[in-house]
Amino acid sequence: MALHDDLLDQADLLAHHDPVKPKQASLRRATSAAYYALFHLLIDASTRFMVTSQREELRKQLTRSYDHGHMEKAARAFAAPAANNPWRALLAQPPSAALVDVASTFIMLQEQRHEADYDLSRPFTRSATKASIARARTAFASWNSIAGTEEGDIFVVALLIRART
Amino acid sequence: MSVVAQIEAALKSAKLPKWIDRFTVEPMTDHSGGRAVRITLVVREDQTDVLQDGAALNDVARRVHSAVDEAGLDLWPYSEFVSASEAA
Repeated sequence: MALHDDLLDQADLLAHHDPVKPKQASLRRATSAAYYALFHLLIDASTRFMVTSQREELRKQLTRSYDHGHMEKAARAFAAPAANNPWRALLAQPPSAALVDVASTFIMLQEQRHEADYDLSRPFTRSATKASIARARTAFASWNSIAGTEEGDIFVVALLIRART
Repeated sequence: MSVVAQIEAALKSAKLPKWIDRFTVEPMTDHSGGRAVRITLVVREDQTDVLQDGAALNDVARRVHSAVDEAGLDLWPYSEFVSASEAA
């Protein structure tokens, strides 16, 4: 299985790891794994779109060029209901619900990943963690439904390249 | 009217599903320094199976985002779901 699939499964395992009283460490690492699952799914899709040859080493090198902050900003361009930006202008119609799901879930998980790793003042709960993982799993399915479409292609380019106005 | 009250009013008219027992609204600054709001949607204890239904959860998150946007608030809404028994 691909890394992103393994990470999503790992998130599930960690969320269910302590049957009676879940440890904060397990729930926080589960949240982080769910974020990185979607992060790597999108990078995988983006690099496969950009490197169409069989040059796997080149594609792997490209995977190191993605920036969390830029990806989050790019996702906002597609997730906000009324965003006005150069990427949206390339779309023939508003983003589909599937694309909004992918972009919104990425933004949500990135914020939760920061809280999981750095904000110990907020306790994580098992139910909220499971909900976040379920949303990540749905984002995977949503991505699969739009991969290779025009809006999907525009999205994966936006994840790497800064739009010029 | 405060931002919290504006969002509460917007969400009350957003026709959220019945499995949501209540919600809380909390202004926040996200990790990138942006103005944001955390909306915690509390799921009824007898309906917690929905917490594993990502499509249903994402649908509500989209409706929440639209409601905040239509209220004219320049805040990013972070929707979270939690069971009633684990809600603070």
